[in-house]
Amino acid sequence: MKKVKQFFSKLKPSKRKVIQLYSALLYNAYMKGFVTGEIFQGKSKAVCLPGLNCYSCPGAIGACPLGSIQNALAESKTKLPTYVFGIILLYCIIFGRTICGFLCPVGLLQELLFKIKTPKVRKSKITRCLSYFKYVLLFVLVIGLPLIYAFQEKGLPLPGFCKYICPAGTFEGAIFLLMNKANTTFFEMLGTLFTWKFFLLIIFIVASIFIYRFFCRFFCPLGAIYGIFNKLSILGVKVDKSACNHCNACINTCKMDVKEVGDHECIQCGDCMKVCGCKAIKWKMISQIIKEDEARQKEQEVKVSTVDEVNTKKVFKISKKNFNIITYVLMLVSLTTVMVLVNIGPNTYKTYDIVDDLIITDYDNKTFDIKVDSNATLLYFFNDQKDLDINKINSYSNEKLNIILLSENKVDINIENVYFAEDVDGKLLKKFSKDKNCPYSVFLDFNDKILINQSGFITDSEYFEIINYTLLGLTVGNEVGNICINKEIGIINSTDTFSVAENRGKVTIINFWYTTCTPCVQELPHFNSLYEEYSDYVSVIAIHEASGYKNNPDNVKKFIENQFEGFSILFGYDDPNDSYYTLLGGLKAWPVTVIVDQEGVITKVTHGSMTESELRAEIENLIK
Amino acid sequence: MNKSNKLNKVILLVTSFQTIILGIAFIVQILRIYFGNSKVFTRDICGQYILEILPVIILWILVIIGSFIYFNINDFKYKNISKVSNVTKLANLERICPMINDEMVSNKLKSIKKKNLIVEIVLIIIIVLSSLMGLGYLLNIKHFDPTGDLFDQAKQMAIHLMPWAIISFGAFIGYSFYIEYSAKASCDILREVIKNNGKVNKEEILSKKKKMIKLICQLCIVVIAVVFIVVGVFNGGAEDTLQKAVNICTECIGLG
Repeated sequence: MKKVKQFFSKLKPSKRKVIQLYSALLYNAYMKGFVTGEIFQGKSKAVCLPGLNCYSCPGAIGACPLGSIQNALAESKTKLPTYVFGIILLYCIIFGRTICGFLCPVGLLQELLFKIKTPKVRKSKITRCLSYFKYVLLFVLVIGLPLIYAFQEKGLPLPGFCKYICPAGTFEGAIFLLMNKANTTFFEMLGTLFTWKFFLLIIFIVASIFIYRFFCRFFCPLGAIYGIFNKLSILGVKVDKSACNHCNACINTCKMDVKEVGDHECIQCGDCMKVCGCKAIKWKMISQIIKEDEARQKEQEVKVSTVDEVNTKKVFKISKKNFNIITYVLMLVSLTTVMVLVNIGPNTYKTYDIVDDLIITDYDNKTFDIKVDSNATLLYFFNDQKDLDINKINSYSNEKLNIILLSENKVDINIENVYFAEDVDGKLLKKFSKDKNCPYSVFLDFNDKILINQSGFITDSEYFEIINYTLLGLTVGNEVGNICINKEIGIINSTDTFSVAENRGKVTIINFWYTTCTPCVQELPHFNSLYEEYSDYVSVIAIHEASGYKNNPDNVKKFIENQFEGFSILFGYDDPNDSYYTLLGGLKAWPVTVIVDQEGVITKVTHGSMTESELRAEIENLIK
Repeated sequence: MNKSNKLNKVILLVTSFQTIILGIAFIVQILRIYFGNSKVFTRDICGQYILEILPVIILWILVIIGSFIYFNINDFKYKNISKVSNVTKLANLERICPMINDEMVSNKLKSIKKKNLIVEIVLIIIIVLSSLMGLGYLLNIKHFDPTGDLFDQAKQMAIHLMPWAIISFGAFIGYSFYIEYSAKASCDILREVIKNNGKVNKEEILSKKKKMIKLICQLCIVVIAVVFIVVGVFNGGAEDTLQKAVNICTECIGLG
C-alpha cells in the first residue's frame, strides 16, 4: 500500500510541469483544427508566441517566433523587421530563458521523453562546448540564409532553419496535418525534404531520451537568442551572493551546461533552488512579492544588515499559498476563455458543404424541403427591392430550378415561377453568412451541395458556367473530372478580368501563390517558360493570395515587377470575400496548381510545387 | 542489493535498446518508401509501412510502461549526473584565497596563466580563421542561386561549412580539456596557500549603482522593444506576420 501511494505521489506533476502543459495547451488552443485539419485563421496569429510552436500546427493560435524572424529577415530588403524584433526583444528582456524552462512546448516534450528510464549521457566539457553550436545555427540558418537569398537580384524568401532543421514544424505541422484525412492530398508533396526532416525528427526524439533537452542545448536558435539576455532579464533566477557558500550543489544538480546559475545556458527552471543548502537562489521579482515562510523570515532577520534588506521588508507581500491560488485561477480562466473564443463561433455553411436541413415556407404557404425536393435551388437574400433585377431573375427560370427570394420584410412583388419567403431576423441568412450582408446568393445543386455562396447577385458568367451546367446534368466543382467552377479574376495592373470560361478551347493553368512562399516563387518561372513555348494552346494565370494583395497591393506589384520582369503569364489577385483558392479546394497550403482542359474539365489538382517536366508532361498530354 | 542493482541495469539497457531499435525502424521505413517506392508517398503506403513496425512500437510502449512502473515503485534515482569542474573550483578558490606574498608561488601561477593565454590566443586564431573560411563561402553569392535546387545548395553549404565547424569545435573542446588540466594545477597551488594563510572573502556584491544601471538598461530595452512593435505595426510588419502564419508554408514543415 505504501509503495502504491508512493507511486501515485510521484505521478503528481510539479508546478513547472503544470505551467509548461498550460502554455502548450494555450498555444494550441484551436482544438477544432485537429479535427478539421485546417489551421487557425484568426488575428491572434499576428502575435508571436514566446516558445517554439510551429504556426502550421492545426491548433496554433499564434505565430512561431523563429519562423517570424526568418520571414521578417527575408522581407528586410523592402521593410525593416521591427515588429518581430520588437516582440522578441520584449520577451528576451522580460523572460530571458525562463521561456525555455516554463513556456516552451518543445522543451516540455523533451523533458517528458527524458523521463523514460534509460542510461543517460552526462553533461561534460564536451557538451558545454557543443552547446555553442546553436549560435552557429542562429547565425547561418536563421539570420544568414534568409538575408543571403533575400538580397539577391531575384530574391527568394527562404526560412533556412524552418526548412532544413526544425523538428517542431515536422512534428506539429507536417505529422498532425498529414494525420487528418482532409489533408490526404498533402501526401503528394512529400519527397526528399520530408524524408530528411523526418529522419532528423527521429534523431531528436531518440536523442532526447538519452540526453537532457538535446534539441534545446545544442540546436535551438531561439534559446540562443533568449540566452543572450538571460542575466539582464526581469524574471528568472538569481543568486544572493551574500548567502551563497559556493558549494556548487546547484551546478552539480543542473542538467543544463551551466557554469553558474543564471548564465546563458540556464533555463531558469528553479531546480537548483531545491538543492541549495543556504537558500541563496531566489526568483527575481517574485521573491519581492511573496512572503517567505516564518522560519526563513526569522533567518533573514538575523542576517539583515544592509539597508536594501530592510527596505524590501517594508514592501507588501502575499503568502505563497495565496500567490499559487491566484496564479492557478488566472491560468484556468485565461485558458478556458481562449479555448472558448477560438473554438466556438457561428458555424456557417461553406461552398461544397451539403445542406442537410433547409425548410422554407413562402408567402403562399408553399413549403420547400431540401431533403424532399429534387430540384436545384437558388436562394437570393435581399433587403431592398432595388437589388432585384426582375428581368434577369425571370430569364433564369427553369423547371429544374427553384428560385426563392428571401427578405426580412414582406415584399409585394409577384414573379412567375419565383417564390418569395420571409427570413425572420435573418436567421436563414446567418446559416450562410456570418456578416448577414444583403444581397446574398446561394446556389444548391441537385445533391444540395452549395456551389455558389457569395454576397451580391450571381453574374451572367456564374449563371452560365455553374447553374446552367448543373441543370444540364454536369458536375461543377473542384475535383478532377468536374467542370471547373468558374469565377472572374481581376488582373493586376489591368482592368481586365480572367475566367476559365473565357479560355475554353485552350488548356488553362491556374496557379495560386504568394510573395513569401518560397516554392511558389521558385516554380513560376517554369510556368512562364512553358507558357511561352505553348502560348497558342495554353493560358496561364498566377493568382496571388487574397488578403496579402488586399492589404498591400503595391508590395505585390513591386515584387512581380522585380522578380518576374518580362513574364508573359497573367498575374491576378484573389477575392478575400469569395476566394477562388478556396473554391478550387485550397487547404491553406501553397502553392496549388489546377489544370483545366480545353472543355473546361479539371484534369489535375496539385498541392505543392510542380517541376517543369511534370507540367510539360501534363500540357503535352492534353494538347494531343 | 546487488541483485536489484543488476536488475535495474538490465531494465535500463533493455529500454534503451528498444528505443534505439524503434528509432532505426522508423528511419528504415521512411528510407524504404523513399528509395524503394520511387519517392511516392500516399496515405495507404505510409499506413502500410507503419503497420509493418507496429509490433516494435507496441513492444516499446509496453517496455516503457513496465520500466516506468517498476522504477517508480522501487524509488530508483540516477546517480549524480555531473561533477564540478576544476575551473569552477578554481574560481571558488580564487574568491577565498588571500594575497600571495610568496614570489615562487606567484610566479608559478603567473606562468600557468601565461600558458593559458597562449592557448586561448591559438584557439581564437583557429576559430577566427575557420569562421572566415565559412563566411567566405557564405558571402559568395554564386553558391546560393535562387533559381537552382535549394536543397542541393543547402547540402553543399553543409559539406563546405561542416569541416570548419568541426575544426573550431574540436579546438574549443581541446582548449577546455587543457584549461581543466591547468586549473587543477592552479587549484593545488591555491589550496596550499589557503591552508597556510587562511581564507578571505572577496565576494563582490552588486552595488546599488550597478543595480540602478541594470534597471535602466532593462527599462531602455523595454521601451525600444515597444517602439519597435509600434513602428512595425504601422509599417505593416504585423500584417505580414499574420499572412505568413495563416498560410501553411509547406516547405517549412517538410512537405516537399
